[in-house]
Amino acid sequence: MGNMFARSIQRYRGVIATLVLINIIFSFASEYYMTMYNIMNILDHSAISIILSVGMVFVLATGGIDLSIGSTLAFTGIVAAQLFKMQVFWPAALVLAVLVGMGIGFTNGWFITHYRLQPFIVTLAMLSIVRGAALILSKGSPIVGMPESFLQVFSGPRILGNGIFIALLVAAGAAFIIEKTAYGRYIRAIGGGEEAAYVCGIRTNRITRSVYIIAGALATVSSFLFMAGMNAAEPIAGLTTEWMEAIAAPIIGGNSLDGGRAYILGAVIGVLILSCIRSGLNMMGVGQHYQQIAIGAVIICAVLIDSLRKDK
Amino acid sequence: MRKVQQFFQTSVYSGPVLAIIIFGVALALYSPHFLQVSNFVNISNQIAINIIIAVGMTILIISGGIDLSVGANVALTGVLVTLYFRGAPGGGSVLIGIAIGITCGALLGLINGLIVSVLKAPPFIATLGTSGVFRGIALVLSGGRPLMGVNEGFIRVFSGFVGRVPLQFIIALGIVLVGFITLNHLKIGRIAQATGGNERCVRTSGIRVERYKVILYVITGVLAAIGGMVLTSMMAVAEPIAGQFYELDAVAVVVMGGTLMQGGKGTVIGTLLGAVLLGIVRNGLNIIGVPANYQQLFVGLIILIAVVAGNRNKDRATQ
Repeated sequence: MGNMFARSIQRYRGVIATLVLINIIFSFASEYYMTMYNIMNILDHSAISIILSVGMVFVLATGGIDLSIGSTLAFTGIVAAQLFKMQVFWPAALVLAVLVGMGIGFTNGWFITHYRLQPFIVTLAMLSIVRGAALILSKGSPIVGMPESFLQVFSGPRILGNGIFIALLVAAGAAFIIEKTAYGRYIRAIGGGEEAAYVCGIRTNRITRSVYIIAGALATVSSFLFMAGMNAAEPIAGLTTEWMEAIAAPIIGGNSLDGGRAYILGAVIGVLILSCIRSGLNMMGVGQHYQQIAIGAVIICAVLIDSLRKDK
Repeated sequence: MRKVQQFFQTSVYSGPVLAIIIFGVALALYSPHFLQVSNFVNISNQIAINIIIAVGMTILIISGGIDLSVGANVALTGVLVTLYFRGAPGGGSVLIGIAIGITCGALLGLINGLIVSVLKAPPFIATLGTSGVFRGIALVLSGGRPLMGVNEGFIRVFSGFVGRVPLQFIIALGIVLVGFITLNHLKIGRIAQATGGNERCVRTSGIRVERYKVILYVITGVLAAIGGMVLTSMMAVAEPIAGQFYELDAVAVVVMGGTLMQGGKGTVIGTLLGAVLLGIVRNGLNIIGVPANYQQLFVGLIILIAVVAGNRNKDRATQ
């Protein structure tokens, strides 16, 4: 246990240092930054991105990518909301929505493995298809009004809703799977070299499909948090920032687009870094537009640090 | 007849050509509006920018790179050029405006190229980052609002007509021609293909891969800037949020045209056909009267089908 802790510190020291540094800078820059209220606010806003990023870590570990999770978030939210409207018992509606999300993930995985297509282009097409489906099913407008007990479970009464706890639970479960199970080793093996993994007896196609199913399921779970936060399901949810952050955060946290690595904690810290920068810049009165430049610059810095690390 | 048969059995273009014929015939039978000249003018107008951007993207993807910042590049170029026209006395000069646009595109491409080749960052995520930066700069410079006051002469240069053919489509075809020659007959094109096939091999042969990679990103940047200028002149206004998802559209038609995402193989003509196919599909959905919400779904399906169909022709030995 102590060994694992030491290894985590070693692996994540760069991102942890960055996170601490950012927080120190912002707490000097604005007196309102290091307040309980703001910290809870940051955590609350990170929950959705954390869940999406965790799903993305699985996909990235196999050397794939999933551009469609933002659309999946929107579509499964609409599905759940429509089921709510039909007076379906809400937990059952959520289960059905998760199944739909897994179905989208399976479709991605099936096209990728069966036709040997590039994940980028398959999930790009799926991005368009699923977004269209979300717009059709909702007739283009948000569906307002969620069941009261659903809101209580996924949002809670305080500023710091239950979302972040659900997100951390998901992250902890994912970290356990990746660190402690054979499945976790398999997905990294596929990212390291699919052919070698296949020769070693790993059912590469099946495992590859499964990571897209996980990404789809987690996109659905994040859509529940989105709906609880807005008290509505939006067909245009997750249009740009969500999925871009879900790809950027794991990379910031040390994961690689080439696959072979699966750092859940890194992805979580990556999300927190982006959220802290957003919040800090907000506190300093920096406009949205400058924030976009800053976030882009952070992503570039993260990949540069990563490529420097690889050179050694 | 045998030649036709041979074409469909062997040519890399057979997939998109077949799809264009099928969709074309179906639409012609469905609606009398499809085969009218005005409709073709319409289609060529709509696909010109996509073609211009996708030609650069094709060569880049063949070399093993990718540029996701072209959409933001389109917006930033439009904003910069329009800011010049607004600031310069008497509306400014068209030539200087174009020079500013091309310089801007080249500079943005240079930034991408240096980050990717010299600093060795993975292109996908690096250009995702620069995309955020470029878009942010466009928003800051424009104050987040659309900018009016585009020079009249500039509008005529990029969105006029020659006879009934839109000028921007002629520009796009010219760029396809230049791209074709660059890829197949110039040294940089062959190096791009070789680099996408096996970069280490090219490097050991003593070729400075880094330098060529930077040039490819600069070319892509310049083409995106031309796309941005065409869009600005078409709209007669510069939008800081213009060009969103243009990068995804460009990658989609590149792959529909048979270019491999992993690099090494691909054609500019295929990309042109891919863009025409996507244009006809979008146009057809409009003619049939498919609601906008359904169009996105169908466009995604077409991309998927085109990619799967294109893939079937290739040997499956790579499994």
